[in-house]
Amino acid sequence: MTDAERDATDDADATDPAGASEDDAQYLYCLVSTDEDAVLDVDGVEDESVSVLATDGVGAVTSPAPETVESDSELAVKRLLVAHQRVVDAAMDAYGAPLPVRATTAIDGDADAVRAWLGARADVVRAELDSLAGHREYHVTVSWDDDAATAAAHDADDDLDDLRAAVDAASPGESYLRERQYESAVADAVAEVEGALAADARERVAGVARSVVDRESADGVSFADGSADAVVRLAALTAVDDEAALGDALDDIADRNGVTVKFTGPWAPYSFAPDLGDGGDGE
Amino acid sequence: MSERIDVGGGDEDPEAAELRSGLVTLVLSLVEIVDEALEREAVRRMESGELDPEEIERLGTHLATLNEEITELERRENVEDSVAELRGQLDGVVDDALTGLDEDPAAKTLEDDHTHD
Amino acid sequence: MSGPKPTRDQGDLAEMLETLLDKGVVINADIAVSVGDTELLGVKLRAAVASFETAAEYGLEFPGGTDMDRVKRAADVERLPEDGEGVSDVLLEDRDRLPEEDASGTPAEDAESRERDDATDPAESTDASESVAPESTTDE
Repeated sequence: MTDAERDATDDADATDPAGASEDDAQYLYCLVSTDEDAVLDVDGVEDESVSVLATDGVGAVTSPAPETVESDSELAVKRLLVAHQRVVDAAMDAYGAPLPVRATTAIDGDADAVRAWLGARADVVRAELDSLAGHREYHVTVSWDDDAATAAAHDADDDLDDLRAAVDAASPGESYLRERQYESAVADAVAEVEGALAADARERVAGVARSVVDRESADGVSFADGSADAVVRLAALTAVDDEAALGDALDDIADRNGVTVKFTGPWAPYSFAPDLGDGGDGE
Repeated sequence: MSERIDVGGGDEDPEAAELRSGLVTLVLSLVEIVDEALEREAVRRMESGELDPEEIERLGTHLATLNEEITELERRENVEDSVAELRGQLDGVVDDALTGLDEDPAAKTLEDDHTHD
Repeated sequence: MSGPKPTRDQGDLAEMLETLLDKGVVINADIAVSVGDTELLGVKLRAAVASFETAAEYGLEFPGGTDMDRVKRAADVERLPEDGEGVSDVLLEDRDRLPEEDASGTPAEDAESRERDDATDPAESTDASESVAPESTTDE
């Protein structure tokens, strides 16, 4: 799709610190706070060497971009994303909280093109990086097993026991309808107690984190175990120093009957990446 | 359900069999959806008191039988899983449509901004 | 009483990969290009992870020749990172065992990609040429 364009803008080879020639685009992983160029000790996408291109107090973490990625190959997809995550991780270790860039992004041109692009918005980038400094993203997923949630719903709603009794007491035809009525009532009651649990979790996390957002479940396909039972999935931007406090805040929820709390991180702050206000006016 | 619906596709022809299976899945998914709507309506009427005990009993029996026949038909045609999957996908489509109403149609993706000059 | 510590194992990473495509800074400048179709990549990744996890969970039969160890690894981490190791280190092991690509595309990779396609959708056509990555990229 972009090959013709890239060929047309081929700016020769000499200025690319990675030493690769004929590379018309630089894969961009993240932006970091730094004053000097560097080479990161980590393999990038397609095993290319990863460079940090610094300008005006900020750096772009890049590697020569592959010409294309076979979207049809699941292997290639997974490889690219694993490489992306690996590099952002290494950058985070070396430079502290980065501004992560969405996967599959590349800047057209060579290293100079990247520097020019970055230099034009260095102030904004520096400000955002300063704001994120010392923070990490943590993921919290609260799940509630069906039986336990149903039991809690029964505790909360007195009518349910009566409806259940009506199912048993009725004649066959009516019993069928009573069963449907009960199922519907239980579903509503379970939704309500689950909503309360979700709200509680959000509140506890918000008490420690700087910022909390929901992580939407994509297309109903679950990645993690048991996220079919997930009541709430959160991303929390939290100071690294507050990590233990975040765990403590989750403790009381995890203690509840049938509730599981999955707590992952620290990750780079993907879910809290700002809009750099690029709107097509880039250079 | 006393009528037969012949959608062809015997055991000899695998492609026809797959087509038949897909068609049967679609039909039974829709039947399930309608059946559930009927049940909801029946419960609503029962709760509202507009039905007398005899009517409730008759309605419930009828719907129970219908439900059994649908289940049996799905089992016989071996489409239980595909029906469940199709209905799951339909739920997803509805969810997407509903959440799409909230989203900012002007939100851009990288692809959108990729110019071709 | 101290609370749970955050984890970063293989399963957690699988969930994170989805985030990489949905979140992060979006560069809308004219100068930005995209490597691959982001949306399609997202869909493929979800299908891949789901098919691995589901299949491994239910012990599904893959067509003969499938490396079940790799399938298992994709669904469940073989070992957790030791002290001083990052998730990346464990993943690198996994990555090293992935089939290498050479200029002509290895039969092993083709077979595997074909098998994965079969696992996710038996009706999908299995075109070997689609699943071979570009030739010029790796050089092992």
